Amino acid sequence: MPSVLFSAKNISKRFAVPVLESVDFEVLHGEIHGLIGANGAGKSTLCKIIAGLIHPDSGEMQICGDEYQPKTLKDAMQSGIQIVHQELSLVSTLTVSENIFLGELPTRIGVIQDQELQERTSNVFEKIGLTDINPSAKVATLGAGEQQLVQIAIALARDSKLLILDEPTTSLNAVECDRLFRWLRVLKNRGIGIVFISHRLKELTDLADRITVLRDGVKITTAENFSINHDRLLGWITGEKTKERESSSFKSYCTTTPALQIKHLADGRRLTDVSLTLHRGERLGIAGLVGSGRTELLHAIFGETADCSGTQQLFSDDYRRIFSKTHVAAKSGIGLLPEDRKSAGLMVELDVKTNLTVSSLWKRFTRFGVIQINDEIMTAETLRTNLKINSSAVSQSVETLSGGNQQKVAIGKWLITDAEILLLDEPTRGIDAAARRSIYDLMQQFVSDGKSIIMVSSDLHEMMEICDRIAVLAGGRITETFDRTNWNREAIVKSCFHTHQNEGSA
Amino acid sequence: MTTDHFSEIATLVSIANQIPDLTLVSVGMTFVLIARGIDLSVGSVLALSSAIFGVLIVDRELPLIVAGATAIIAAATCGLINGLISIKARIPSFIVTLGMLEVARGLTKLVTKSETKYIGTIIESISDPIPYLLISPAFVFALFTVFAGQFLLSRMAFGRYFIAIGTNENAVRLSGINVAPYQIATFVLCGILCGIAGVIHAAKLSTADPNAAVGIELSAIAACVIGGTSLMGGRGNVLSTFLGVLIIATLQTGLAQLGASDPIKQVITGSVIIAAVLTDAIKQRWNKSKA
Repeated sequence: MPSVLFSAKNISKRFAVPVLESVDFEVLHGEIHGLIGANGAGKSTLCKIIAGLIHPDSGEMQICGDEYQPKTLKDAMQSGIQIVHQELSLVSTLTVSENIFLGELPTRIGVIQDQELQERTSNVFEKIGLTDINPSAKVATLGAGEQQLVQIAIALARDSKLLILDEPTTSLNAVECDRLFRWLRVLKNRGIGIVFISHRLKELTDLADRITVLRDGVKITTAENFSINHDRLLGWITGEKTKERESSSFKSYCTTTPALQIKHLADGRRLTDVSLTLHRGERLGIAGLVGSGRTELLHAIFGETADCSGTQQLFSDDYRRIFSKTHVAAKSGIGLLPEDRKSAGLMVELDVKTNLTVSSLWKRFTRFGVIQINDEIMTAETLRTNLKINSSAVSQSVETLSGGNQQKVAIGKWLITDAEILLLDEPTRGIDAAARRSIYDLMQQFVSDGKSIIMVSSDLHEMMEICDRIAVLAGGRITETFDRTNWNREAIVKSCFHTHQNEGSA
Repeated sequence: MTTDHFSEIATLVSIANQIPDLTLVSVGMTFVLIARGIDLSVGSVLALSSAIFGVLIVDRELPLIVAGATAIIAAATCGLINGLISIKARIPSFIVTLGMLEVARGLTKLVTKSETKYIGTIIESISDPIPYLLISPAFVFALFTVFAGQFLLSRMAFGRYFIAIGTNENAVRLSGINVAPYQIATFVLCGILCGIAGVIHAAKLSTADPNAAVGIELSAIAACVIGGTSLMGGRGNVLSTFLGVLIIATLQTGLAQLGASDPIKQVITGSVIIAAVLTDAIKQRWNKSKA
């Protein structure tokens, strides 16, 4: 049995709520250690703590038997721990070797020494066993898979004992994955420890020596790979004994009249073929893993994505089209609450009133282009009272409001336009319990008038509490739809993971 | 230095009658800056307008009103081209208007055959002080533009969207607003104001000078910045820009009266601009840290 390379004990971290609770984690020399869990289980937080990007509230770590307390990413790198994030950070106009030695290019009086650079790159490639990439190729000419390999090579060019890979395969196809895995096995044989995060069960069971499962910030188990089958793994991820929290206050306003019908929607990127029907008075939840295209779906419906294909039929006007401009979608009675309220949902430097009326200024508050200030203030004040937006006046800047109140302002603008369909992207992210409740009430009130909501949330409990139906988005398609009579948490989570399984074996 | 009462008033009057063209250009620049663009072509477009105006009156003997309208339409077209290319093709307006700066100056020289055209006294009444009132119709018009511009910005839907787009274009688009027309409108407005400024400039000197208003873009941007307009968009107002114009003009006149040479004037004016931006940056940071 190989010796322990890295160990973490009793790691805890809170961000308002506990994200990790006394987690133990260890990696052996030459081990590929899989890490899996649903969205928000704490995988990324754990990795960031190991890489010195986040400081734990308590717990201790050791590497090669030495005390390890990284203050920064640099500390972690110096101790031989390298993290490779999901998003690539390569300079695509430079060559592979220039990217690898970007921080320390060999120069003589400012001129890059090409010869030396090539030699150094060859040495590194030899050391890390990467044989089939041309060091003088421009990164832009490489495929996604090769770029991923280069990104990992950059990490390995530094002294590496432990390599953390955060979902390295999300943008890779099957062939590229195979190539990556072959290389990871070479690295493993050289004694490097690898932490491998993935949502794809098959990948983990094919590649990993051991697998650790996190759920809601708690380590469920660390198991030897040979003892695991997919069903057991899914059981750990979802928590078979999780009680369903049926909300007694839920009241359905869902009708059988369709409000919006989407057929074969594709955006040329994440979405391949989405079809769904939204009914009047319905709250439809969209479940799916990170990267499954949930935000992209809402953007495509709202016309924020150019060049979508497929059709959208709004039953208010019976006209089939696809939106390619946001103002056309808005005019047709659709409203969007973007995921990131600060950068996309609000003009935070401006006041509450301006943010509330931005979508309806021409239609409701102008005469000959002149804003009817009194009208505007009255409407904004009424809305502020109705939505219980906690601010001293509508002239207060949105910046100074709490997250929950900001969210109410961002939704409020669509109440003035009389939107028939609201698309809510993570409406309750980062806001407290009381504000959450008032957002739910707001949604309920909205659908009680026969209007409809499509909601995306990473919090499945939340969607099961307030939605009429939940559609699962995976592999660019709606793969399964659950309603209140047949859903349970385990089945929905399984469905989210299922396509990945099928994809892997296909 | 001793100055009696009469020469103080004379100085003020001379400043007031100097600044109408810079005022109009600065108001236009304020709109463009607020919507997070920039227009470097204002000086050349002004010169083009004044050249067209002069040539139509002198060579074609067209009536004043027709010549003026044509000149302003030409300037507005320059603004429209600036706006269309930078917004529709998503090219930074800095680059597009830098190109227009050359294009419009070249056209100006083509129109005037690189000669200064003397127009004559028929247009001087625009820029000459009204008897007993001492100020010129051009200055009155500039004042009117300042107040109209401020009204547009603070009370009209167009102005509201200029500010909103400059603050967070993304959020405005995701609020279901087609942002491009507003962004393009700022350039067209700026073009129109440069066109009017060109006519006023020609009237001031009774000539159409192909080298008119070289470098006025710097004074206009300076006036905006001194008035507190943010180069990052979203913040600014026309009244303050007018204050900026007054400060620059007073500084120039004052320095001239003190007998400062042109190079010294440049050094001091430049330093005042940097000081203004610096003060603004420090104030912003202080406000942020307080919030």
